[in-house]
Amino acid sequence: MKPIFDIQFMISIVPEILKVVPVTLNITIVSMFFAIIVGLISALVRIYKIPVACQIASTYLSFMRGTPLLVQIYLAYYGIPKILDYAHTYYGWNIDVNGIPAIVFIYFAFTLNVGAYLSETIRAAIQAIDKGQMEAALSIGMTTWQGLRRIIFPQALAVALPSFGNTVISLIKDTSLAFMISVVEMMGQAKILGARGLQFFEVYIVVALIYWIICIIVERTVIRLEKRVKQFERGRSI
Amino acid sequence: MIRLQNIEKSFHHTKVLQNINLTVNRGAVVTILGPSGSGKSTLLRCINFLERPNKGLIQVGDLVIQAEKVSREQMIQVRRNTAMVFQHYYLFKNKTALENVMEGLLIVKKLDRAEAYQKSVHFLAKVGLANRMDFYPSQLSGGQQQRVGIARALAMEPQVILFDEPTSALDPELVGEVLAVMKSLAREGMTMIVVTHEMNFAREVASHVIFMDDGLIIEDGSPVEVFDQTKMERTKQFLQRVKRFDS
Ligand SMILES: Nc1ncnc2c1ncn2[C@@H]1O[C@H](COP(=O)(O)OP(=O)(O)O)[C@@H](O)[C@H]1O
Ligand SMILES: [Mg+2]
Repeated sequence: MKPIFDIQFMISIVPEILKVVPVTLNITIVSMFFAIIVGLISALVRIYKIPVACQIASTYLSFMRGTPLLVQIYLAYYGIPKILDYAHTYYGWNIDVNGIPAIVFIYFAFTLNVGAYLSETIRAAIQAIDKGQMEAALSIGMTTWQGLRRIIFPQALAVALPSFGNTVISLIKDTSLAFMISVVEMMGQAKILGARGLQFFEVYIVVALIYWIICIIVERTVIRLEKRVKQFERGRSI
Repeated sequence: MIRLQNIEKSFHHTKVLQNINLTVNRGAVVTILGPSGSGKSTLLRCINFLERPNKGLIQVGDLVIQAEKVSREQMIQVRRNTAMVFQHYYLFKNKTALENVMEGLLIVKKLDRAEAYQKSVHFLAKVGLANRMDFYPSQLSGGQQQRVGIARALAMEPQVILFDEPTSALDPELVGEVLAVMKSLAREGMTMIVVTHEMNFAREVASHVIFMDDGLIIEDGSPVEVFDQTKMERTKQFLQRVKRFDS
């Protein structure tokens, strides 16, 4: 009897899939990095109700959360070159649109998408820290930014970390959409390998396992980080 | 010297402070009494611009500031020369007692670590907490947290410390330790403005007592004048009520 799947083949493709794991991680890390910046700015703009910027941020969040990620990826992929082309023609910007690697559009789409979700997390986390500590910081002559950076953010991070972890895990899984605009990450590699021997089932089992392992590692890391950033919350130990 | 002239403050068209005039000399201890909602906290918070007065003049030492035209730099200047102790302490929860006191020295006064450390230890010892330096706020009792709050204020070597009901959130058995620290500061000549319901403290320590009602200072004078020769009916009523509550 033939086994339901071909273990030999599965083992043989593991190195080929692992070869593109850096692409998946790269998309995750770069997008997460910029998403944190976007999320933080749009959260602060809403917390401090900065006119105009606050409305722009709200519209941005609403759009990002109300449209599918795949649509956003296509919008970035087809839209940005159009805009740059326009700028090239009418303002004389000197940009070679065709020279932009597809992964850049992926960074762009993921940054904005994840940034929107993080914005909500960050805003809630900052507002969970009582305002009095900021007043105490101001009262000794610190600036608002110093108070945010040294007092509020470290505590907000402790609040937001579990949610950050979930966002990273979703992001890792969502990077599989990058293949839709022909960025060869794990999913893309899987399609290529599967098509070669028509052994799609085997390929996807391997891919699933690798995603799973990566996500478990991330989960564990977040739990460990959480313990560290929460050390100030330890109860009385007198 | 702290001087307030014609301070006015409204929240959404509701006047919360009106026609506030107050001079606090160096080394004076002024206590502010008054019913809840009369504007005591707002008055304190106007002095260091945690609230921005709509009108009036604020002087802290050599800094004279017209409230309508105050700049960001001026606000920071005032805050560097004043310090505040809050009802709910508001310690930095991500920092130990020592780090709470060091923070302003490092970030605002830009002292080097060794010097900031030395000073902080000194002020923590002064409030009796040298042995709790490395504790986080979550590991300290309310009274201890408030004493850290006082050490944090002292470390800035301000011209005045503003106390907003510093003992109101404390369990009764912890009030004494905080008042004792405040009394010793008063004896050493620290300029203090204290919003409090501790009548005994006001009587014993204050050089000047102010009674506020509905955004106005309606009575002020020495403790004897305000407590024993009360002029205004509102003040009498308030003191009666507090006395009943105390006994
Ligand atoms: N941030 C604020 N926004 C609106 N109203 C406020 C604010 N802070 C204080 N008030 C109002 O101002 C009045 C005086 O408040 P406050 O100074 O806290 O009084 P007290 O400290 O004497 O109890 C109250 O009626 C209060 O509701
Ligand atoms: Mg008050």
